[in-house]
This record gives sequence, C-alpha cells and structure tokens, in this order.
Amino acid sequence: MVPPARLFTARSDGDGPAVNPISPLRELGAYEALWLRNGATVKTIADRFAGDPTAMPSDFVEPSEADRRAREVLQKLKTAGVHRFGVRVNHAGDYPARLRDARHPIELLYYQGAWELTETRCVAVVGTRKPTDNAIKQTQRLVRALVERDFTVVSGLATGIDTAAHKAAIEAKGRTIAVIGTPLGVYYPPENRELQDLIANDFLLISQVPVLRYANQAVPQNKLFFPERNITMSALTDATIIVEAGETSGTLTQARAALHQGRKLLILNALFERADLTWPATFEARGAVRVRDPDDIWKALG
Amino acid sequence: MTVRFRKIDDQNRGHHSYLTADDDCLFLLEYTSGQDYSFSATNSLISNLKKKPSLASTGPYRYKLEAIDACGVALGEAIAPKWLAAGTLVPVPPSKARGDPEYDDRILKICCAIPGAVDVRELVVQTRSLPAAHESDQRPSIDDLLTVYRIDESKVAPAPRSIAIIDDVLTNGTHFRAMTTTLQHRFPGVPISGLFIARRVFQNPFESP
Repeated sequence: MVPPARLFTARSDGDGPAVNPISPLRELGAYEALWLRNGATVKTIADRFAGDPTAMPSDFVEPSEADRRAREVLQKLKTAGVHRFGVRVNHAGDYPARLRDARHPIELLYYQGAWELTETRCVAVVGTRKPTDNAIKQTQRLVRALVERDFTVVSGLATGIDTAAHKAAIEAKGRTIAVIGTPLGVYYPPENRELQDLIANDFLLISQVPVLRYANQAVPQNKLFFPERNITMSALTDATIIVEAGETSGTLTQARAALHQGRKLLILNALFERADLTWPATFEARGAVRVRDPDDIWKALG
Repeated sequence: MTVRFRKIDDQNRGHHSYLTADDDCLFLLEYTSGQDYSFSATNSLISNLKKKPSLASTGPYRYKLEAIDACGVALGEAIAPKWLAAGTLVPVPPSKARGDPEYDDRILKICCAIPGAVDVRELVVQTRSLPAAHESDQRPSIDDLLTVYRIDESKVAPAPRSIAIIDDVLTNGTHFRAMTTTLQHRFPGVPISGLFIARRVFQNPFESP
C-alpha cells in the first residue's frame, strides 16, 4: 500500500530552537479530525501511520481544521465536567513505547490522573459483566494478592469483574488504572460514575476514544470502542488475568491481544473445568498459563 | 526513541501560572506533582539531577553525572541543528551563588553536554544565594529573582541573535519569567524561548493549581 502523502508538514517552527515541536492541542484536534473522516477505524488510522512512522496526526490535517476540532473537544469535555486532562501522543515524551506492540497502535490517548502509574508493574484483571458470586470473590482475593506484591491492577471499569477488580484494589490501598471504552467525562455503566471520578482523581483513567466521533455516532457503532480498549489495556500491562468469561465474551479480545503482543495471559483453572467453554483450552494451547494455584501466577509474572 | 519537544499551548499553560500566550516554552517530559514514585523514570531523572554537590564524594553522585549527560543528549536530539549553530543557550543560574558549598551548576553542565552546542553563555548570574525553590516553602518570587539577577557584561559580546533559556523543571514559570525580563531588558528584540527537560503537572484534574 502506498502511504498517504503528508499534506500539511509545515510544523517546523521556522527559525525556532526545536525540531518539529509538538503542540499537544493541535495533535489532539488533528487526531479527532482523522477519526471524523468517512470509514475511519483503528485499523485505517494505524495503517496511515504504519506507512509513515515519523508522521504525526497534524501531518494529515489542515491546521485550521485541527485547531477547530481541538476547540470543540475542549468545549465538549468541559461541558462533561472534565476541566483538566492530559494527552499522550506518539513521538512526544511519556508516550509508552509498549503501545507499539499492538497490531494497530494507538497514536494518541487521553487521561486523567497520575500517568506515572503506567510505569509501575501493571497486571490487568478482566472478565465477564455477569460474574458468579464465586468469581467476584476470586477477583477480590486475586487483587488483594496482587496489591500485596505491589502490582498495579488495571481493568476496564465495566460492570462485573472489572468493577470488582478496581474496588478491591482501592480497598486494599493499592493502585489501579481504568482503561475505559468511552471518552473522558462519559460514564458507562452510569452507576460507575463515582468510581470513575475517584480513579480519575486519585489514580489513573485512560481513554483512547475520540470525543467527537463518539458524540457523532450511535450506540451500536460506539460499542466497538470497548473491545478496542481491551487491546490497549493488554499493551499497557505485563499480563492479563481472566477470572471468568463466556464463550463470546469481549474479554477474549484482550486474550488474543495479549498473546499477539507477547504479554502473559493467565486463565483461572475453574474456567478449564467448565464443560460449556472451549476457549480456555484453545488459549492454553497457544501459550496461556493455566492458574491452578496462586504460585502459578507469581511464577508467570516473574 | 527520539523525543520531540512539546509546546506549552492553550491546553497545558494553566499549570504554569506565570507563562503567557506570548511565551515560547518547550519541554520533553512531564511529571506529576506530589507523586514520589521511585519507578517514574522522569521523577528519578530529576531527583538524580538535583543531588546536592556536597554529595560529590559519594557513590550515587555518579547518577547525577549520568543524568546530566542524558539530558544533554535528549536536548541535543530535539534542538534544530540550524538553530544550535547560531543561537545562544543560557542556563538558569543556580539558586546558590558561586562560592557557596551548595553551588550547583548542573544546568550549565547540561548545556555543555548538548552535542553540537556552540554558544553556551551564562549571561545571567545570581548575585547572592536564595533557598532552592524545590527545597523551600518560601519559593522565591519573580521580584526576589529580579533583585538578584544581573547580566554578566563580560559575556554579552557578540550580541546574541536568538536565546534559549535552559532549565530542568518548569513549575510556575517564575525563573523563566525573571530570566526573560532580565534578558529582554538588555537585549531588546532578541527572540527568547524556554527549553525544559520536564514540566510539572497536577494529578488531580478536578482541582485548580
């Protein structure tokens, strides 16, 4: 494929001291503009940058459009109660190189909270939105043990296992990161509003979801952002542990991503013993760790 | 991975109360105020940079020297060679005056560690010691700094054509403002930028700085 030409590479600051300095605000606007183009997906956007690895979003968007979109985003976030946030953009400092392990790497992320948490040892604990009571208890035990060993617990703020994982980490006075499938300032499920604000305040909340595209399209399209954030969650962490998940669960997106990205994938033993599930054995054959005993986790995490 | 400078723009200027839209300030890294994670690479870099000169005979001091070199290299990769060939790098002077046992010229050393740096000049000197801003509750004000900042007239020729003020951490912008005021007064019309290793941001997004 011929990489799309850069149309607007006039970023160098004339006679200024910096080589192609990055305006986070303009990049944010340009990234949002790319997402508003017809047919834009994580893949089409990633393909554009794969074809031109030193490009920035602003290389492909007219500056006036980028700046206009940026203003729209700031306004929208402000209306949603998000007065302070940050972005991480590829080629600028603090962008995590591990994100490039994703099949379709994300060029720009929004966040609220302490970005430094991404530099700690992070383990994702994820699973179904409709867990059994036993799975909730297992999640709580697992998270307490992770916190005791100084791991940061990462999850997706969904109902069920995700919520249990975040809450257990906070209760155990550990650290937690939420990688959400909505833009900042949008709460899903709505009952997690308080938890999301708490994580944004005291820990770290990350969203890769473009604010304007999300606002411009309907719920069914926006649902696609949820599995995509699982791929990013995997890329940001050392390992993913699946507590409970059905045969068609979105959690399996994260399982596939973890193996593809060279991350550890751990699956609790009970899932192997369920007659209705075939995926645990499939993933084990592809390199996942079957967790029969807590020591299996610590051995795998090294 | 080469890191490019980020600009202070309308989205992020609020963290630095003394900066205005007219200021051209650029930074490489961010670190969150109030966090003391030994595992944060930037935090560790900055804390190594700030190791006191009185520790010079101790083993860990080598981390300071390594940090100085790393900062010089990172700045060198992000500064345009064309600018570097003609511009003047001006380090923010140490909080302690020359002769003080804690005189720490780490910023000057960072400038000197930038590959290709031709014109590094301590155009602004500090006439007496102040408490280091990062160690004191009584952070010096812009006026405090203006009182002790002087142009070193022995270094003004040839007149600089473009100035980059170099500092390690951008907080409120107090030192940058005082440096800019001092330099603009002596060299009117000469463009001035601020280049920082890192800027401080606030963790709590719902509180004002």
